[in-house]
Amino acid sequence: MPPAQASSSAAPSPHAARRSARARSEFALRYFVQLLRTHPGYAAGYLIVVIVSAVAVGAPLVAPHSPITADLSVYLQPPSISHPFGTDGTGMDVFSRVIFAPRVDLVIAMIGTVISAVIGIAFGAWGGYFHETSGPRGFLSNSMMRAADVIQAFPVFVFAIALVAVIGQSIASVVFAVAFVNIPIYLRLMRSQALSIRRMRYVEAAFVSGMSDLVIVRRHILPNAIAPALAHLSVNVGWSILLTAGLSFVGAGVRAPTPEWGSMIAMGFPNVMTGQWWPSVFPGLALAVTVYGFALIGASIEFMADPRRRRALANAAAPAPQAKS
Amino acid sequence: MNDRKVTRRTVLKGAATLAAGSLLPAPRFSIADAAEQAHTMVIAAPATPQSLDHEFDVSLGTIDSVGALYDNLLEYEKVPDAASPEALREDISVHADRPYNLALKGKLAEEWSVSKDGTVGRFTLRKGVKSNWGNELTAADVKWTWDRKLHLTGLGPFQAGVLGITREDQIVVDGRYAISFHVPKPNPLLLKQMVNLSNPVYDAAKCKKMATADDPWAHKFLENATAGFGAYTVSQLTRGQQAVFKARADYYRGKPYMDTVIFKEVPTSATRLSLLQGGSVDVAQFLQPLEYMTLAKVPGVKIDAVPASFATWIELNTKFKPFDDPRVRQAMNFALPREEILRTVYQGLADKQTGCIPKIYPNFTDQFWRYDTDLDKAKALLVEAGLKDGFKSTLSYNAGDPVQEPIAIIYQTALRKIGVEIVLNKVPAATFYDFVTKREQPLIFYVDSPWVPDPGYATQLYFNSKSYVDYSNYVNPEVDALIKSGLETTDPKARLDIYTRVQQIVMSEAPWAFIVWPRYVLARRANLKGFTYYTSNNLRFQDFHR
Repeated sequence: MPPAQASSSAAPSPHAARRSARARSEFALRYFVQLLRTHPGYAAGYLIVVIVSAVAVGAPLVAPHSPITADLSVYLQPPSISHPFGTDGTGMDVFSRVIFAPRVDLVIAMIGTVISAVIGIAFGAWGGYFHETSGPRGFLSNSMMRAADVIQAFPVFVFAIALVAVIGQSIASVVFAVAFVNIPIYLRLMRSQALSIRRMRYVEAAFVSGMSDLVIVRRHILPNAIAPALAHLSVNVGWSILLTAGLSFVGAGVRAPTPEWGSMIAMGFPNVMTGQWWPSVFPGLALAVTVYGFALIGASIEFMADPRRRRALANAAAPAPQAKS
Repeated sequence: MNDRKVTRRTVLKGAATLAAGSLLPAPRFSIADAAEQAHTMVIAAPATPQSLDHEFDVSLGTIDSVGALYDNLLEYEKVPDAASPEALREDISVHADRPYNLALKGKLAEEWSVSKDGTVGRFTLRKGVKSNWGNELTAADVKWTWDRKLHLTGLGPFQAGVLGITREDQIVVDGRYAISFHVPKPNPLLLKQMVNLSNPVYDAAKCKKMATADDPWAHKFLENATAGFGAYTVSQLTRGQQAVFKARADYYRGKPYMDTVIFKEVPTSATRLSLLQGGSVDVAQFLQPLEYMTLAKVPGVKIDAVPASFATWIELNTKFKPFDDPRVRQAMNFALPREEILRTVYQGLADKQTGCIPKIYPNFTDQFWRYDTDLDKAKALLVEAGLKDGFKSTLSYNAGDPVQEPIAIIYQTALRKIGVEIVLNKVPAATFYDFVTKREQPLIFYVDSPWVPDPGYATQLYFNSKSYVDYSNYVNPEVDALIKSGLETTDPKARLDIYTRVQQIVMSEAPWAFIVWPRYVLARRANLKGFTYYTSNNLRFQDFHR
């Protein structure tokens, strides 16, 4: 039963409600710890993302050098104590740039993904609810899906490059491109969920009881259809980081010398063949590890979304019954 | 026991060579084939020629092709290059003891003269010269070639225009093998233009046959085929893959050593490097400076780096504030760390640009150079210009030229020290030249070379306010008048004075941020000899032998 249908004959006292909430939190925590304990890979994923996020926040405190200042007295230096990841062709410290880069990559990917999720989820729920209805709302619902078809007909990367080329090269443009190409994913996910939920009896009951369409969508469709879209968020953030880096790699992303992994890989790429591998390899590793971290988190969410596996783990996480003496 | 270490670099290089090698035809191993291969030259180039009609195409592949397929009336004599002893170069210096002060040799023309008043150039053509279609060279071919320039809208009108030729009747056929050019005023470029790669002679008989009512100047034919009197003919042109050139046995100077030249498109410079390193190609064109330095250490590979007519600079758009103020432009020059750029980005394969015309050209002087890096002077100039707190601007650069981004970053860091903040704008290679020609960017990189080794030609191109290449929007009526007067006299002394003054004004007013003169660098197999440098910065396949 959906949460909106849950009811009880008597309202619980505030004290009981608090106790119940605490119990639920404790159980969720135990459940989460049990998940990480039984799946160390997922734990590694969370650890990676936490570390990368912490590094991004604390980069100005951690970075030994400016990430955007050329210093030709130390250009193309191999890794050393003063430059742990070496320096690039303009003498910029690769380590400092690598740890500053998530400030751009993560922020772009997260904002882009959240924007696409918010828009895609809202319109997907609305479109799914009004599917098969006649009149302008049904027409709009169908038109929305055809528009999504058109967007998805283009190769995502090429489409993103085209968008940045049209809007102009800036961080805001990359955010827009990332959001724009991701919207159809959430739109489809949400719409397919909404399509099945709108036929549920409790939705029909809400309609008969006189609730407006907006209230039904907000109170009954959205909460019950949103789980798959939320589960997709983490994987999508990782993918968006790759897209951001890819755009910068081909020169359509952020402006030089903004520290950004894709742009760093591109700048250092010509040096790999001449033996100076470090300007490209370290940002490449950082990018790979971060995306892997988000992929692992996505896998853990997928695990938790599977009722069978969730139940099995919940049983394991439940406190052992007290032995009767 | 083989003690050669397998390192990451060897694995990477090997993999790259294998991948690159797969782009080329399968190797052949018989002895007869080996002898044939000695007379085959394989060039790994960034791109195949897009068109064989130079009138509308100046891309790198095209100019290499034109040098092999067509001949000019005249050429410069060759001298050993001081910087690279195995290489030759054109002798473009002023020779007071030679006719017209030039070290010229006949090519398609065997005799030539300029009238005393400097307004008529007469040429007597070599007899018995055949085109690749078997037609004999006559004055009608030269006439048709120059008439074509006047009727098309490509390079022709400019090339004819610098001589003051605007009408067909200025080119007169005086006999089967005699032709004359009648220019309105004495013109020091009259003979030099006959050497210019942009002015080759076409086989008019063949071109007229291939012309149609819609295409009376045979542009469509010449885009894909050749009708000239050069050393080679093209046997295959598959754009994006390769062009194959075959030596002509009936070439009037004798069949070139290289029977076959395969011009292979290999877009990535790292792959071109690997191919040369692995011995799959004879020449790897247009590598990055660091790649050249890597190859210099490879046995069996030679690098020739010769001073060239190229220059790399930043256009300081004088129509944009604050670059309309010469003091700001001077400050931009004082802030540029050229020496460091030379040492790091160019690996020493360039020279500091200490003047506004190529330093290898006659009448060049660096006596007006004063922009060695000096941030204090730069700051003082900004204060003088009322920009004590600096300013903000945007520098656009070409994504297709890998040296421009590092230079831009280095310059950005240097300018920050004098309070100037520049945003770097990476422009895709395909649209970069649109950006340049529109002249709507405050700061933009430019790389170019004036092909005719003449101070008048070079300054006319870049500093005459009416020139289509005056991308910095530089206007100085005195400079315009001086350039014009220098192009209307053949007196060497007068020209020296005129162009010295032009250089003095331009260097003082600094419409460019002067960066470097990159050298022309050829990476080749060591057994490939005969490299000759031309101011048109192209290869001529007929120069090479083993």
